[in-house]
Amino acid sequence: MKKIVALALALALVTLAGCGGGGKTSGDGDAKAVTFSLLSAPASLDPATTVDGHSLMVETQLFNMLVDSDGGNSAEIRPDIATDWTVSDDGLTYTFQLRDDVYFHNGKLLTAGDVVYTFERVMVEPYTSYLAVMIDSVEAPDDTTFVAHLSYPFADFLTMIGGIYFGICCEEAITSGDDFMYHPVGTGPYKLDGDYVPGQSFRFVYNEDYYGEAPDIRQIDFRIQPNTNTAVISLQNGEVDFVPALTVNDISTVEGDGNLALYQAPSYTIHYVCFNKTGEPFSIQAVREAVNYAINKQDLLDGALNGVGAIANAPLNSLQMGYNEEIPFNEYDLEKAKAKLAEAGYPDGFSCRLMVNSNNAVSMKIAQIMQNELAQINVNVEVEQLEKATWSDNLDNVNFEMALGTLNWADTNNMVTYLYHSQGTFNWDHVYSNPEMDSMIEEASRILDAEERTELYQNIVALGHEELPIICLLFPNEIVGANKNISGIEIVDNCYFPVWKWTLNQ
Amino acid sequence: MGRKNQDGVKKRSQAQEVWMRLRKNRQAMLGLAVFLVIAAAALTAPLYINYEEQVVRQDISSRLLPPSGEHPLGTDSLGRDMLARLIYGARISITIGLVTAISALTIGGLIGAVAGFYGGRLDNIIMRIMDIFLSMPSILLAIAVIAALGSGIVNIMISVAISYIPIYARVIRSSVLSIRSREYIESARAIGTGDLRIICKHIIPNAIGPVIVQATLGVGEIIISAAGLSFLGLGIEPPLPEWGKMLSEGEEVIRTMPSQVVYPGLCIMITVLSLNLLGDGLRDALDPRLK
Repeated sequence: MKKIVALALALALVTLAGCGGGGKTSGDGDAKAVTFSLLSAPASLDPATTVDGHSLMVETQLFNMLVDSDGGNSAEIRPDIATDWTVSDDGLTYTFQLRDDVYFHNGKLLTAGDVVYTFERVMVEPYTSYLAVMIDSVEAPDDTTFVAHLSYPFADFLTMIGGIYFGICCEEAITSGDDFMYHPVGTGPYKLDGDYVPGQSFRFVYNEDYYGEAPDIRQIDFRIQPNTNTAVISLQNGEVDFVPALTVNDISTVEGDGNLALYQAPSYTIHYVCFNKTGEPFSIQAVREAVNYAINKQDLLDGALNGVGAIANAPLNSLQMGYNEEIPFNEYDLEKAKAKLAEAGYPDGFSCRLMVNSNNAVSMKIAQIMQNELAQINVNVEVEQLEKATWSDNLDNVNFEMALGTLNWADTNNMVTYLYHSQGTFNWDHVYSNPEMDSMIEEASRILDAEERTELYQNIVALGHEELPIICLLFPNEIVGANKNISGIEIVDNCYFPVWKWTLNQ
Repeated sequence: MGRKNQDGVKKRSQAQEVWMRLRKNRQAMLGLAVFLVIAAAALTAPLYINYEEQVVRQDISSRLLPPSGEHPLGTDSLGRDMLARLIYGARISITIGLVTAISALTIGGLIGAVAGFYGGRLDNIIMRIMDIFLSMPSILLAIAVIAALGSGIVNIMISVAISYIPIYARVIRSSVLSIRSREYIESARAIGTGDLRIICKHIIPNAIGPVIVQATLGVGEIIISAAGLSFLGLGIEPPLPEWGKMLSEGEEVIRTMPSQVVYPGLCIMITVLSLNLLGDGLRDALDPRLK
C-alpha cells in the first residue's frame, strides 16, 4: 500500500513539474516577452572580454555601436550612435559626429569620452586587441565628436567597428570597480534586470531611456539548455520561444510542428582539415593533395550533415567577398590520389592520427567518414577524439598530425588571415609561409575599391587551394527554430539576433 | 593433520554445494543462460560476420534505413549494419568488463589482503590511500587518465580499473580481518608457515566468496561505466562498435529514429541485468546463513 501511495505521489510531482513553465506574463504584467534558449552560459557580458558566441548573442541586446553594420556582418553602414561621419582622403582619419541624447542604463549621458575609453579598452584587452591593430590613436575634441586615427588604411573599418566588440561602454561603470563582466552598462534597447550569475537564467528588460524606437518585445528571458534535444522539446512545449544553433536532425521536428517556424541560412562556419607540416608526411604537398583527392565531400555532406549545407572549395562561402567559383568543389578521384601518394614517396600509404573535438558531433562524423575513405588509398587513420580543452591545447602546441577544426568569420579578411597568413592564429604550425600570400593578404585589407579587393581575395583563396595548407570541407547551415508568432527573425550571423527588431503577435 | 584434511574436503564440497544451491535459483540460472548466449554470440562472431564488410564499411547512401532482410535491425547513420555492430559491440563490452574486473580484483585483492593480514600502521596507510582513490569522482579520474595517456580501449580499462581497485581492496580486507584470527590460521602459524603461503593458501581461498559476488556484479557495473565514458566521447575510437559509443551516435536522432538508441541501450541493459541476476544468485548461494 505504502508503495502505491509513494508511486502516486511521485507521478503527481512529475505531472506538476511538467505543468510548470510556459507562463509568459511575468514581470511587467502584460509586457511582451520572449524566452531565448542558450546552449551554454555566457562567460561574460562585457564586449571587450568576450570569447564565446553565446556572450555575443546576449551582448548584442545591451550595447550600441558607433555605426550599425548588422553586428559587424554587413558592408552596408547605417548610423547608430554616430549620426554622421567623414573619412579623410588618405583613408587614415575617421571623424564621427555623435548623438547628444543617448543615455546609459545607469542614467549617465553618453559623451565622446566614453567612446574614446571604449576604443582604448578594445585596443589593449587581450581578446580584442588583434581587431584593433590598425588603430593608431583615438581622441575626443569635444563631447559629441570622436576621431579615430589609423596607422594604415583599412577597408573594413566601419563594418568592423559596427561589431559588438566595439559596443560603447560607460566609462564610469567600468572604472567604479563594479565587475563590468556581470554588471554591464550600455545604451542598448534592453538592460539587465537584477544580477547576472553565470550559469543561471537571467532577464533583460526594455531600457526606458533608449534613444531609438521602442521595441515591440519588452522583455527577454534567457535560459541555459546545454542539450539541443531538450531545447527542441521546450520549444515544442512553448517553454522557450527561440533556439539558435539547431542541428540538421531537428529540422523535421521543428518543421512538422504547426506552432513553430524554422529559419535556415548558409553559415560562415568552415569545417576544415589542418595538417602538422613540421614533419613528413604532411610537409609534402603531394601528400596533402592525395588526401584531398581521396575525400568525397559529397559523402561528408550527406553523412555528417544529412545533405543540409554546402561543400566548401575555400574558407569563403557564397555570401562572402572573394568567393571563387572557379576552384573545384569536390575533387574525389582515387586514381589521382594514389598517383600523388606514389609521387610523394608513399606508394604503400602510411598511418597517421586524426585529432578531433569530441564535443562537436559534425566533426566526429566527418572524422569517421574520412577514416573510411582514406583507407581506400592505404592511409590508415586512427581517429583521436579529445574533449574540447585538450583538443584546443594540442592545436595550440602543434601536438597533432591531422586535425579537424572549425572557424567562423563573416569577414573575409579575418578568415584568410587566420588560416593562410604565416602568422595567422589558425595556421597552427606557422610552417606554411609564403611571402606572396602574406603580402596579398596584407594588401587586400588596405584596398578601398571593392572590385579590386574581391579579385585579390579570389586570388588568395586560389593560391590557398593550390598549396593546400588546409583542406576546406563543409559549410553547415545555420538553423534556428522559433515560435511562429515571432516575426522579423533574420539570420545574418550565428551570433547576431537583434530581438528589438522582432515583433511578437499574440 | 586431521584438521587440514577436513579443511580440504570441506572446500571441494563447498563448491559443489554452492553450485547445487545456485541451480535451484531460477533467476540466477536465467541470468547465467542469457549471459552465456551473449558471450557465445560474441565469441563466434567472426565466423558469421565479416568485420570489414559489415561492421566497418560505410555506405553513406543507405544510412538510417529501417529493418529489412539485408539489415535485420536497419543501418546506422553511416550506413553500417546495426545487428552486426551490436554483436561486435558485445565482444568489446564483455572484454572490457571481464578484463577490467579481473585486473582490478587481482590488484585490489592483493592490496586488501596485505592490509587486512598485517593490520596496524600498514593497514592504516594502505586503506587511507584507498580512501583517497575512492573519494575521486571516477569520471574526472577517467578524463585525467585519458588526457595523460591518450584515448583508447586499454586506457578506458585502466581508468575504470583504478576506480574499482579500492572497492575490491575494502571487500577483501574485511573478509581477511574476520579470517585471520581463526584457529586454522593460528595453527598454520604454529607450524611455522610463511606469511605469503598463509595469505595465498589459506586466507584468499576462504575470503573469496564475497569477492566473487562483488566481481560478478562489478562486471556489469564496469560495462556501464565504460559505456558511459565512451558515450561522453572518451576512449573508444571509431570505427569500433562500442555500445556506449553507438548510444551517443544515436542520441542526435533520438527524436526521429529512436531505434538507434533503443538497440544499444537494450543490449547494455540485458547484459548487465543477466550479470546482476547471476551475482545476486551467487550471493545467496555463498551465504552460509541461507543454507
